[in-house]
Amino acid sequence: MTSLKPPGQIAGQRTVAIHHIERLGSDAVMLQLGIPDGTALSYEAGQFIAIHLPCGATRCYSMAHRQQAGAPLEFHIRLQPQGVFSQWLVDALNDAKVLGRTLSISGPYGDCTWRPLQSSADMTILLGGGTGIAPLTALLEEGLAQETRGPITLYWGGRQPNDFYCAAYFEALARRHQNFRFVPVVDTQDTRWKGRRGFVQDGAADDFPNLTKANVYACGSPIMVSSARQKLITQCGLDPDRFYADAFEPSVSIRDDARSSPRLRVQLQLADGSERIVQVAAGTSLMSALRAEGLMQGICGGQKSCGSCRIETDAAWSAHLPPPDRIETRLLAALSDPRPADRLACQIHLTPALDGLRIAIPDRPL
Amino acid sequence: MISTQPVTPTQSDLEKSGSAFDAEQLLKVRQMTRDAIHRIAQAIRPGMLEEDAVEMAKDMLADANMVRGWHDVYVRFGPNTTKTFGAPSEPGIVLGSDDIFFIDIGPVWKQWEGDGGDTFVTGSNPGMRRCADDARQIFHAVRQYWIEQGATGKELYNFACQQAEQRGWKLNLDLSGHRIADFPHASVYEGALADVDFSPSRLLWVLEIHIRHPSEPYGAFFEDLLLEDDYFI
Repeated sequence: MTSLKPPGQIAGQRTVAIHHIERLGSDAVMLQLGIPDGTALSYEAGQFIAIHLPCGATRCYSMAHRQQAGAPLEFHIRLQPQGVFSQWLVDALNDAKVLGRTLSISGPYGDCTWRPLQSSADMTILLGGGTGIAPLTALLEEGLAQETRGPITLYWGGRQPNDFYCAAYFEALARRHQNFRFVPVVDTQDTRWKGRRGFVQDGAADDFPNLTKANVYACGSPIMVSSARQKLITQCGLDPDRFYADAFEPSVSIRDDARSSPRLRVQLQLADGSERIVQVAAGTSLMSALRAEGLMQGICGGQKSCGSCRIETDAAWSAHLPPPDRIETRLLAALSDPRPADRLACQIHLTPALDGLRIAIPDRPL
Repeated sequence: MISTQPVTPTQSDLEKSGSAFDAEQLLKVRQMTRDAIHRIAQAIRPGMLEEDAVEMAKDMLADANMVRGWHDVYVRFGPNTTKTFGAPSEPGIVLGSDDIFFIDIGPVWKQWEGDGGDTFVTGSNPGMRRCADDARQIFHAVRQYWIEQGATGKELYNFACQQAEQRGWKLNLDLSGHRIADFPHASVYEGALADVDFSPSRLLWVLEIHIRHPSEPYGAFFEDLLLEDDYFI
């Protein structure tokens, strides 16, 4: 096995050219990038790449379609107020000479990819919010291309009816594929909307109270992903190993993540017994946040393999965390001196709901 | 005046180990790792789903008190044998009756790291069989070059490239060797063996050989510690 290199060193960078750019709804942009030398970027539906802007900023976005020979890479990007990339996109929308200009990308990355169903009758649930629809579209296309026979239901959440900028595409797919259903969901009291209301995870839980034979994919804000995971596992019997989600929110910069994401406090008891409060960014794992603070190593990179991110959770907070899956449970049991409140920090996804989380970094050899 | 020149790490910097370093224990983990790879390989059958094989491998490592790993467990079937480190496998690949697969594990036993990989075939496909054999043969040819020439890390992988090309394969340089030590070696040096300008010392480095067919969707992988011939009899 090779050493644990950061992703950029694994895949290297390559040059792409701007092929097309247009607005999507009120606050999103479609960006299409072509690879000038005609070679394909090999990726799996659901994966993402990093785009490196001339100004030095780097942003990660998921491909919005499954790989197709000769087709440009397509991304759906939410415009953020004062966002560096957002301003670049707005300028590009108004610049007639932007087409053909080159950018650098690296990747692909990510493992929120299409997984085979255990039985042909098993169902697939896709949960997306905003531009989180992009990787779900690629996953949906992959599932349909593989002639998946079980029902596939896509819930797309938005704030208002015109947020569903590619609803016509899904409606057309639903007409062609009897096993596919598209459910747009508005989470506000917009009186123009006659369809489903609420949150996408609630809609799925209401429609499918038994998800023991389902694969679920969730892409969107960290809080939606976290809520969906907890609700569908605890309420609908979803197997935790069959819940797939991006490890970070699409449209969030790697470099600027800490600045642009909500902050939360984590109260730590350190190995020497001292206490400390750290401010960390939501949208990443607790291991990544503590590693950035120099408080742990995370040797295997969050693969539930090495145990070097073992923490002990405060009893009052344990119930707020999704339960460990089989692999995490097995690894924790195999470490020396295991205790009931042990968890792997790499498996705790930081959301604003965890503000005030109390943990201890134990002084126990692994 | 304070110098801003970067300090180039020396061989002794990159070959440091932790306080728990113990050559005997590292060799013991090496043997446990090789044994585990062969036990896992013997349990893999045509018709098995790759994801199930990974789970089975993890179960078997857990049974052998090696559930911890400094990297994840990889079992790659068929076209996934071309995937490099960290790349997710194409899902749903079922092992065929005339197919190829490799195993790559990095268990941590007590305080010591293991690392090993090997490739196996399920049938008589001559190309796949030769690929698996060549990964091992290139590994040993490069190891001999290290023994006889005292070659540097860079020279070892230049030689490995030549060896692969001569046999009609492409060498994947994303997998180009690394340190091994008492856990974790990553706190000493995370870089590649192929990047070092000195002749690596015995027992401290892992030599990785990942070759791919130039056009067909399969490859082979072999890795083990850089050691003398006596350890490979």
